[in-house]
Amino acid sequence: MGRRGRRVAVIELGNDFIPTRLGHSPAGYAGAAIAPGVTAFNITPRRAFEEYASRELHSHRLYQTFLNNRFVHYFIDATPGVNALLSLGKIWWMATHESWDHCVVDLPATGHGLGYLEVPRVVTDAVHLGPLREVGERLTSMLTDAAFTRVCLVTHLEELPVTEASIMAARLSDPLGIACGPVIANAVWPIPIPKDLAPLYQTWRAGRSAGKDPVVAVTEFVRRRVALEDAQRERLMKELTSYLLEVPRFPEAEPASLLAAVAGRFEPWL
Amino acid sequence: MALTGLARRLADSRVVLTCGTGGVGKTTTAAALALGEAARRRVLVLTIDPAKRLADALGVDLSRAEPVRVWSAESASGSAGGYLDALMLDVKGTFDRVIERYAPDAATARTILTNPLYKSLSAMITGSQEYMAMEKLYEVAGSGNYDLIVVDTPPAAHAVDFLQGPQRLVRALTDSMLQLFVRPSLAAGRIGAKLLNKGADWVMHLFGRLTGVEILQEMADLVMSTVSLFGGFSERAAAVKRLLREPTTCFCVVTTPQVTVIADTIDFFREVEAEGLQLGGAIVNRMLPVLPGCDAGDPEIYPQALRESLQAIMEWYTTQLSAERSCVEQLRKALPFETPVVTLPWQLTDLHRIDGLQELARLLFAGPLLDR
Repeated sequence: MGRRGRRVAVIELGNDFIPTRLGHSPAGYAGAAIAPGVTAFNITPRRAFEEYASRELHSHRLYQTFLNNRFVHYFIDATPGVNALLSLGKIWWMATHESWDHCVVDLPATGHGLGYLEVPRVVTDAVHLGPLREVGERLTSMLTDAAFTRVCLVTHLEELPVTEASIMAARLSDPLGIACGPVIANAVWPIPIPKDLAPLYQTWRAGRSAGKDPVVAVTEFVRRRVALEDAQRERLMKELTSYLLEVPRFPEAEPASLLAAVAGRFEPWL
Repeated sequence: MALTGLARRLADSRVVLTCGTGGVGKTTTAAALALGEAARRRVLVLTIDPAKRLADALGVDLSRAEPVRVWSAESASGSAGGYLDALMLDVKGTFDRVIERYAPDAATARTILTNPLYKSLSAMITGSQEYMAMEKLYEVAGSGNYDLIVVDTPPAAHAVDFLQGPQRLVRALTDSMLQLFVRPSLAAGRIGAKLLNKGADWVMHLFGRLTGVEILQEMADLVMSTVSLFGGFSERAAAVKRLLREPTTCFCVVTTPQVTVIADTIDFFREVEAEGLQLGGAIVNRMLPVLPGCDAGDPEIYPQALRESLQAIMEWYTTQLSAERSCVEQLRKALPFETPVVTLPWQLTDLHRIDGLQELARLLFAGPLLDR
């Protein structure tokens, strides 16, 4: 999206893996450009709280004097759901008050990702009035507005990951009411022999032993992995209503060139 | 049968925690490790991942929050031996049992368990799970029912943070603004205390502006009713910390041979070392098998029509293989020499259910090529 001239914030929650793996300095909470149009951020609950409290209290000094201390920090660290609420609040602010065309958030894995996304709804259920309830309602609206938020599931075309992606898609829909974007199948094996050449390959292969011929051994191995993936792709397509984007299993390279290769695969779909 | 270094390392362990980032096959590997030891010991595989991966991997229903017998030597071969149970963490149920255990009386426990805010907080996976995971581990480790507990942790970038959940809770109870709910007027009469009280009033006032007064009052009610439990929580957190540092507890990281995943794995090992925790070993999953002569194909023998495809797949395979070997080498260099590194090749079936896991256990325990 950055290559197409859009302004994109790519957000990690408590990590700085994306910029550092690409050879940049950690982006931190303030963010740092990592590619044309793309800025990385590391959102941490404490910094999100600092920003939120200073803004709501109309005074950074009040925050510094009374709320920037271990008593408050330990409370934020330990209270269930507070981390998610503060991070989601910051993402809402970036998406509605800053000039990003897209905010791409790297969520935790399935179980924790769902737990994270359900926090605003739990807050809205538990708190009946006051500013905290308003925050819960605002974030719930953000997450359940399909024109605003979509969750892109990333999976492998293997049995357990496909099962998990299906379950997550169902839970996102009900009870959370969050829309799914495209599903991304990552690291898809290459097709060794195109369909139209398969009969010729079978004839050629018939007289050869996989135990003795390395070409047959490699081709047969990859073909069998591809067959497993085909079965899972079919299953995934039956169980999900979203469309599927596939990213090939690139021969491993430096993270920057790998990222460029994956981005290239997405371009036709953007 | 020659044992891998990892198998030798695990033979003396009582608690093994498997860690790793998402998509590396951690749950399946944890289940296979547990199954491999179950032939001779009483083993529990405990998943604290809220996703139902372990249940799917084992093909069993783990929704009852009770250990489920998955395999036993007796039913498999009629011989005496061990067994494998599986258990999925029930965050809310474990939280409730903790309250019941530490409450001074039944009335206090009931007051807490019926508090609406407690109900919401204890059911929230984000945050609560970290406390209850270690609580559950300590509970089953002390039960005497198992010789080995294999813990399948959730995919996490900083698995060590997860293990610090109990300490975080204790810090919050003893050294955070929760104290302001418990002691609203500190030792009245002393100038220092009065100033402190003034500051505490401001903190509560500002928090009230941020959250609303109603929720602060509910929180105060909850904290007041749980104050008698704080001592029990602290003792338990200290005991969990000791358990994680015992010589019979170790961490195994599951990884895949990709540059970024290996970098995360090395970071994880450094975190584990810095915390003074034991490194059990590394399992590099999903390696391409080294097929005989796969780097020496002769393009001249390919039929003309297939030449381009076959050359492309051979080149892809050998490039990938070489990159994977570099990754494993990088990992081995970064780890202490005595830390076992086991590699597992891609399989030609999806590995799950008991038969598949038995095969994986055989590879883990009987010595793949790159083991050290």
